[in-house]
Amino acid sequence: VLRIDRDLWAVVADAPLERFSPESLETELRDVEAVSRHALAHAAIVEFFFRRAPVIPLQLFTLFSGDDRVREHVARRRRWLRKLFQRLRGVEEWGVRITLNPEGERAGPRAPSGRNYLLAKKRLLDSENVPDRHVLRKANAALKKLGGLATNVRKEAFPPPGRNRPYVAGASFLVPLKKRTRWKKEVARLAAGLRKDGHRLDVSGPWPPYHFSSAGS
Amino acid sequence: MPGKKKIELPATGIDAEASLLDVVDNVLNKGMVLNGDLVLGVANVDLIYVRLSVLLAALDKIGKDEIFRPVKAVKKKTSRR
Repeated sequence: VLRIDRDLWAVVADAPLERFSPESLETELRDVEAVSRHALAHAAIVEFFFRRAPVIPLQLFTLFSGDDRVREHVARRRRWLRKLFQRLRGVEEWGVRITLNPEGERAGPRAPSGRNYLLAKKRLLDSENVPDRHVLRKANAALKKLGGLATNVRKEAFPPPGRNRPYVAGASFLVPLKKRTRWKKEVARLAAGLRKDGHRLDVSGPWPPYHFSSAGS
Repeated sequence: MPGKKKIELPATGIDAEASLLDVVDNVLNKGMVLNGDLVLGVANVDLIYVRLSVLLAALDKIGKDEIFRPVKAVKKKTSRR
């Protein structure tokens, strides 16, 4: 751990040049296993410090030629980093995804009435899984409701629904630690409501603020 | 700070609760971009990321339902804390 300033540290590790050279990295990165290993090691370190203090996770493979260069780089951004840290103090990230009708349409038309059958079939032929407007509204309302508990929200972009792909909406939320219980209750409540209608709400977290550490956040 | 999460230390694997895909995506594509002097030397770093996203997309299709764990798991987690 490198001390940058009175209240700012950089967590670093030695990266042997022979393993982290452009050539060997390129070779390694063709292999999902190798990538996963790097990713997990990186995530574990971020996680370790996140449990103890606010962290700003850096992207994987952020490489410097020496400690001095790290100090220099971080120190140059120190004012900006402090501002970001202020926003990241006492919060954690949660990911939420809502999948509309994950089984229904994809399973093929099996509606009881003839009209519904034809409608379902038409939707399949359209190769679209675009849900009804009121269903969409419900999903958006759920995300909005959760956003009320968060200090910051990042909407996630998903590919549009298609023949074999249901509609998915999701976002990352920065939620104060103090509100964690309320957050979980709200998530469970909304998930139950959506489940009744055949939709699914999945949640992941708490994460370090991965989605809230980029320049624009 | 958060009491428990998914990644076990040392990083020998992940908890069943977090998906590898999420972890990889987070550390690769999210997080702060601080251009280290060495990365700048890697001319093909963007290419690497492109290739990776293709790989990950393929992975995504295989393990689609593994991406996020269901809400019920969260409740369980609470009791463990």
